[in-house]
Amino acid sequence: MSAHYSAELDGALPVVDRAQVLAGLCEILPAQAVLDDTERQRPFECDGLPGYRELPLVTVLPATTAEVQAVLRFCHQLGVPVVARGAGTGLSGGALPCPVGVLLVLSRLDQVLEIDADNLLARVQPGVRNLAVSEAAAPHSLYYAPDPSSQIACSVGGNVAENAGGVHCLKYGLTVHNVLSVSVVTVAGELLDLYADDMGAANLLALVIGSEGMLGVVTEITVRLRVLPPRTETLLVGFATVAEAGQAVAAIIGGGIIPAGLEMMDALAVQAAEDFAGAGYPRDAAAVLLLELDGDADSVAAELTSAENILQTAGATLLRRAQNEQERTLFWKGRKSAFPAVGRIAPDYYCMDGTIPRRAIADMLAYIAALSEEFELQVANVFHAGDGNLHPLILFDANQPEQVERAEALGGRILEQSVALGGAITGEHGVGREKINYMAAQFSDEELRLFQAIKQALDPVGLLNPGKNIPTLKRCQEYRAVRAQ
Amino acid sequence: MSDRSSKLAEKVRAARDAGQALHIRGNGSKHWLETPDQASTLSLAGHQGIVSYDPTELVVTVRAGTPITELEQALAEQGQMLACEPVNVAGRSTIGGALALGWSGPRSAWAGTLRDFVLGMKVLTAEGDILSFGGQVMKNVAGYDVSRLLVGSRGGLAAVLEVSLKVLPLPEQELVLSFTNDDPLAAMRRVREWEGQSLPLSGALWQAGALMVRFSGRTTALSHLLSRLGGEARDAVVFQRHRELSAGLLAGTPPLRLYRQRPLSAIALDQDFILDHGGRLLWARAGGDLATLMAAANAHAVESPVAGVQSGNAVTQHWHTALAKAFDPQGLWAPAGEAA
Repeated sequence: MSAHYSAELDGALPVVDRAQVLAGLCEILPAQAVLDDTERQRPFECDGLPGYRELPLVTVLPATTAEVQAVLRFCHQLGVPVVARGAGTGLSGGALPCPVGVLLVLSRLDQVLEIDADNLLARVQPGVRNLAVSEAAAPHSLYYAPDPSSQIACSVGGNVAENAGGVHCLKYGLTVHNVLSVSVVTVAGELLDLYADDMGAANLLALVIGSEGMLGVVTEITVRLRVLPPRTETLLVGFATVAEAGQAVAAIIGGGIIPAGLEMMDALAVQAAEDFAGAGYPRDAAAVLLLELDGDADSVAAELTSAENILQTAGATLLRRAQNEQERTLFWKGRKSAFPAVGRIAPDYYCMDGTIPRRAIADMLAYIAALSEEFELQVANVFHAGDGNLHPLILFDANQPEQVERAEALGGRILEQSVALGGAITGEHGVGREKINYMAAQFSDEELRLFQAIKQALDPVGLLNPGKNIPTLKRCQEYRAVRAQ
Repeated sequence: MSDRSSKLAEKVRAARDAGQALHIRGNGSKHWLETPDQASTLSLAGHQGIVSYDPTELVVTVRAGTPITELEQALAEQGQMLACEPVNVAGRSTIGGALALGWSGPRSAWAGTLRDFVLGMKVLTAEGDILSFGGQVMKNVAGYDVSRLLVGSRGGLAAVLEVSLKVLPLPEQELVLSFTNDDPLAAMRRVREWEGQSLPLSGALWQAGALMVRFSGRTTALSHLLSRLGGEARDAVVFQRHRELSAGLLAGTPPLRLYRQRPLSAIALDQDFILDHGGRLLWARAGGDLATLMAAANAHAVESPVAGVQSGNAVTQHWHTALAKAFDPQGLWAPAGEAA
């Protein structure tokens, strides 16, 4: 069933007087910060999920926290929906505009306010790009750990909204593990500061991180910086079967090693990446692992020996250690360019984001292979094996509506299987609009009701990002009815 | 080792129907909190046992009434641990009690806090429903992060029945060194220098003119630290006692906890205190008004072991109140620290 907004299933959107909204916003913000024409709003009609598009009523680009507060206060008074947007790299339609709402673009809040090297923290505005934090910290030999593949473009504010991960999560955590505090503007325009280590009551910061713009708008973030590790080693490992690669992952972790990165790619993804990046991946392998170890020199040396032994025993057909930084970068280039590489072998690809227990990796890949045959669409698999986060890339042609439908149906089956295996429908991309139906596969009505109660507690009228993240029970009933047929 | 979920749910529904308040209670190891009478207690102490544990998944799922000591023993048998070292009062706390309080031990400044290691929970709501949030996987961003929200909520939102926690390998070796140092900030600056050299820190505690530092890691990485850094080697049990709140200033009713975002920022307190978590946590006795104390400690939050949070602006309080109402519209849960 379609995930597109439907008044019948999702509730009617409020009636909004466009002229009144525009006039009010022009009083709050300078003229160039208010966009109301189609031409200039067009770039904002979708995020990184281009299948979902909508023009907002008005787009605003505030430059200060005070302006964000003023916009929210005004919209709150008038009952106008507000959708916050960072860099627009999200993959679940979380920043899809609301046709009767204001699109609050935070890209002008783009200052690194402070790097405090002594205290290992950085204070940034939400529009700062993820990679820019590490770049600003680099002169102090520090960095910011979460590194989503989109880190060149994605914003820290967006990372907070989605609880973004990356390729180093298993050892260094997600965004929630690396944020010390945030300033949040509430739906009514009030400002509050939330802290990770404030344990005297419920941990509100954990609630806000990953809440997809549903509970407030973050205007300042203090993140934890880490010391750049003195030694890093990267192994490129090939396997003749996917099952052996999966077992090798379990053996590494069972062996007491927590790699900084542990990535897996299947044959189709390896072929595409190799054609694109020429990283030296073995074209004859059924699966390739990239394993990275970092830390102090002595520990890395000990873990490297141990890891190499485990991988040999697990049946590795190729085991190559990057000989220098250049080769290490090349190994990673293959992995990090896997999405665009796959994009070259088909007109379009649809990226999924389920998570499963690690032990189910081989079974899941077999299941996906069967789905690929059933739906007659190719699927390339790239994933964070260390934390069981899959990114199957379904290849299709968006110009053929029938293929779009098949791709979405195939993706849905992967998400449902993730839940059946004890996992989740999304590990780091968020629910947004895209996975709204599949929330009913993971949660019961009572659980969804609690989510709704939380939303209602902090945004009683439902003005923040309406229609995202948490489905109505009516939509869930419809989903279950369709599934039962 | 029994699953008492359905009995607990029955008791909640009965209390709700009778309009009675309930205190959630584990082993009662936090002796500084008032003991409610039995009729108004929802005891999780008997709801015990490891539900599932697969070391290669780095995840353990455990019932809330399980003593931390037992859980850690089961993990140690597989060469693993709870890296956040949840505070385990006198070695008697349950994992559910630790979650309610949300306090983490010395290693947490480097490894992450108890909240960070929570992957999912099964909870019993004030309506008597059993709900699941999060899961047993490392990453899960579907819906709001209810399980991490509940950490530190002191039994005011829901009763935790089960929790899934990320676990990590036990270090090969630990080394505790002590250094004489009258200046707590100079001591923590030294710790920061070691961190800059990527030494495997797992504890840094200053009290009464001494800096106590713990390193954990591969034997090869620790072998030359004593000769390189100097100091006096100490038994690792000092960090154990500290974590159990059984020594010195922490014994009895614990002092206030002051949270510092900047571990090296100035401290202008005229009383004895303990600087913990590499400078990020300061333990001090109450005295004068809290705002002055917070300013003197350069803290952004202060927590009383009895009453919980003592800081945050009116908007934050409003959020807490609104959420409490969302979870518990009828006011079933009597917060810890107050008699029902």
